[in-house]
Amino acid sequence: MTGTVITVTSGKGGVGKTTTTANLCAALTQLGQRVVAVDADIGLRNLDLVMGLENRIVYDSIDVAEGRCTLQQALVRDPRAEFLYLLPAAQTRDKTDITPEQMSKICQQLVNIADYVLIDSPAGIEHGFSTAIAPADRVLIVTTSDVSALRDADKVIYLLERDWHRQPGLVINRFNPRLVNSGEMRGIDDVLDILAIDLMGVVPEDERLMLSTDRGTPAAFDRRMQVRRAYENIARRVMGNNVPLTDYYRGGFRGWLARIFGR
Amino acid sequence: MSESPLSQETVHAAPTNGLPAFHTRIADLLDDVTAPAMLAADAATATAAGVAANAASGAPAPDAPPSSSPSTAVSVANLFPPLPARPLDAESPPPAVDAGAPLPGERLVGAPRRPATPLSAANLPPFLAPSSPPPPSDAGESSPPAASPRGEAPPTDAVGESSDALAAANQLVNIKGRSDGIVVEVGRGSWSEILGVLTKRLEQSAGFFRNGSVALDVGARPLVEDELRQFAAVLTQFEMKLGVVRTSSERTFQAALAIGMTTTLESPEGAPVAAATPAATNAGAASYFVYRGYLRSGHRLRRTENILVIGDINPGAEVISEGDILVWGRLRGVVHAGASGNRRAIVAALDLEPTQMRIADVTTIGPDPKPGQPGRFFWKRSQHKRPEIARLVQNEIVLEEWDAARPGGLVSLRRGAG
Repeated sequence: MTGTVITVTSGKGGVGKTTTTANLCAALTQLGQRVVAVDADIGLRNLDLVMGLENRIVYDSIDVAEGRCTLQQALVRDPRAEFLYLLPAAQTRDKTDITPEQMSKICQQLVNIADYVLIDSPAGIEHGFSTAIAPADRVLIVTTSDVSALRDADKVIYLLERDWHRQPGLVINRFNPRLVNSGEMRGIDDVLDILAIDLMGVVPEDERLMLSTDRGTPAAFDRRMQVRRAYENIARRVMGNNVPLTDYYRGGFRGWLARIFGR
Repeated sequence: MSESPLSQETVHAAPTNGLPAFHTRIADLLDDVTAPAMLAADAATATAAGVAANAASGAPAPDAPPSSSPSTAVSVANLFPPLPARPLDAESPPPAVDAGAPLPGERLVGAPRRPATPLSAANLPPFLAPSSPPPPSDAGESSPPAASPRGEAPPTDAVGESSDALAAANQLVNIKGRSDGIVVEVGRGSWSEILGVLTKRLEQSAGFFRNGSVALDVGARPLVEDELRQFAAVLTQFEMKLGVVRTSSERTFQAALAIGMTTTLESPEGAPVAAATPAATNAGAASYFVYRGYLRSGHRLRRTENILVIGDINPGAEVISEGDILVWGRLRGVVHAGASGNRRAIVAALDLEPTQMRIADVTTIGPDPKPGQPGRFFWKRSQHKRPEIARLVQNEIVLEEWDAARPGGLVSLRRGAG
């Protein structure tokens, strides 16, 4: 049995790659999948914080690559889930300290034990990006709907098609239906018009999501969070299920009810 | 997403089925080999036929220069119509059995990028023996078992080295004899490293490839003009010449064109996107370069021909042509038509909203966003959405909707050209 390696990337920083990775991991485990999260952002590691696993880290991916420990030793188990592990990045090293080949080798081992391996890519399109993309079977592009994020996402898609021959999927993050309805912001259709790739899901803007990130509890583990529905839907689509897109534009009681039940 | 490598395999696996025929008829074919001008293989036809005949009869040909074999192989491939399951219907050239020499560009399109030939080495004529690496297993060169009847070992056998070092070198430079000539594939690694390995291997081959024409397959690697020149220089040093550059990188394609090489641009799956010979033989302005797909931010398309884009040009992309630029889609990037000073060039698009548009030496910029509104070019779908044509009228770029431009437009096109 081999799993799928999915790299989450964006080009621009701060659009929610790490949050998306953490929540997607949590949502996938809740759907009964075995998941390993890999932080490829060496030197600026964040995924451990967002997943609330910082204090458990002993070894990191560079230790594995350089043979100072086994892969099993470096994996950090998330106690809230059945099968969710984190392979942390080194904070004291540099992105050039791991090669794309080493990363691919690590991921080849990981897919033997997990259904999904999610790689949190660093921002930018330099060495760290190549390292994160090299092992990927699939790529998720996270973007918000503002100009600079879209432009960078467009460039990343171009690079993926040119150098890596991959067709990515799109996650629109921090989507604000109120601004779209008032005509001041790009809607989902406009974003898809520009980027022209498959939409994997839309995550509405939610300030409590920021708080849960800060606390180290992925929203997908928090039953009170509505936004967890969005991640659950993305996870289902990643697993190949056909989930209709939630209609964020519909107002009124029925729209509210529909959003609560994630339809 | 994940299917692309898969589909690549199927694409290349497909053309196998012509191979039995290939064998049975190879002897007849070799007798009437005609001068294969197609792949820039200009080796003497007579020697080619001679060697091939020897080779087909199984006898080693120690006296004749073996390097003319690629040209023979090319013509063999030519005599066969495109094999049935090839997925590129639109672009594939007519079978061209006896229709004279087709255009160089077309010929290149017709050549399958990686003819998967799972032949046993015993079946092969000796001159093809070092070819046919079944799937491209870079790790170890499968040296043809006991199939080196000739005095000089095929270079792939490169004796006297530890297999590790050999494998590493093979990952950098892979020299293959294929049905369409000698192909040099380069892997990842610095260019100087690759040239070093190439030099070494050519030295080992001791003139085996002399006078051969080489197809350089660089995959997606972007190369600049200097790197290609260096490569050609190494080949010249060993009395070989660079025939064609195959690439799936637009940058390399442009570089090869710029220094006057024959080149093919292929999609990652190996389907040809474009083939071009240097502008000298290709009457540039009259022909069209067709690009299908999205031109995304950071993509630069520069050609001497007219350009037709079927798809969108996104903001941040640049399209430069010495002729017209036509876009069946949205034009929102930077375009420059008539780049060499052709003031009659036009720009036309279904949705013409460029960030910046230049025709010959005249430049316009898109209007600034209205205050309080997000930027125009990444804004919503445009409101009017009518096809428009832009051209120069008295040193100004004028935009006209297509139906307004049409009746008087053709006249004014002529007038505007003055």
